[in-house]
Amino acid sequence: MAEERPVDALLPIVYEELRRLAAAYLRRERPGQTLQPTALVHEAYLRLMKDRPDRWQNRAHFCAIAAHSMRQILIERARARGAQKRGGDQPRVTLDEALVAGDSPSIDLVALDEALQRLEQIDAEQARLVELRFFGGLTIEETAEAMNISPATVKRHWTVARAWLARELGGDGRE
Amino acid sequence: MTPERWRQINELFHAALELQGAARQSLLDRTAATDPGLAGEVRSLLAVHNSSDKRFLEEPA
Repeated sequence: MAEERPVDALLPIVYEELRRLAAAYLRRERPGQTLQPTALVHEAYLRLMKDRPDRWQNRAHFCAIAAHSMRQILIERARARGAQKRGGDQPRVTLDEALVAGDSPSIDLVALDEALQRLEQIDAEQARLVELRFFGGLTIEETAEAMNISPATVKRHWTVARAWLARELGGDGRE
Repeated sequence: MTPERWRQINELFHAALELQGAARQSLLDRTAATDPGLAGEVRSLLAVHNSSDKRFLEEPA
């Protein structure tokens, strides 16, 4: 992909900022308090934008990078928690336990990450699209902008990738 | 699964989604006659598409 190189260069900057913000939130974590990854992405955007606005083409460009970092951070945390809980067993941690998201249905993040790696082998574009939407919180339109494809194409890819992932994650995707 | 197979599944999935009832069945039956694996894969994905929790992945992490 054409934007591969600048993204590679900016990824560590976004990753570090998100990690720092996540750690700061988690230190203050109290029972019942939740941390929302998309809120973190937004906060990181505001901070990094203020710092060096020239580095970012637009919000979609930033979120595309942030989505990948957020995925890494969430998966690292899910694996760490799973290892802690089960003493080295294969970690199986839901999003709720891993960080988080208030009322969203619980999803096994480690299983999702693995399924996304399999999807990447057969369709890298769809895997990236899911990463942008789910881990970056991008809308259909923002995803279209970030990937330089039409919103209609995003919707088509999303529909089929979502069905495939629901099946991979345990049958019918119900929780 | 190969990328080429996945592309075929995608095409049939979207073609079937645009049809209703008997027309959808007919398309899948015709496909099954020559490529049962492809039809089965798409039937399975359509079933998940129709029955899965509508919120699945729709609310960002």
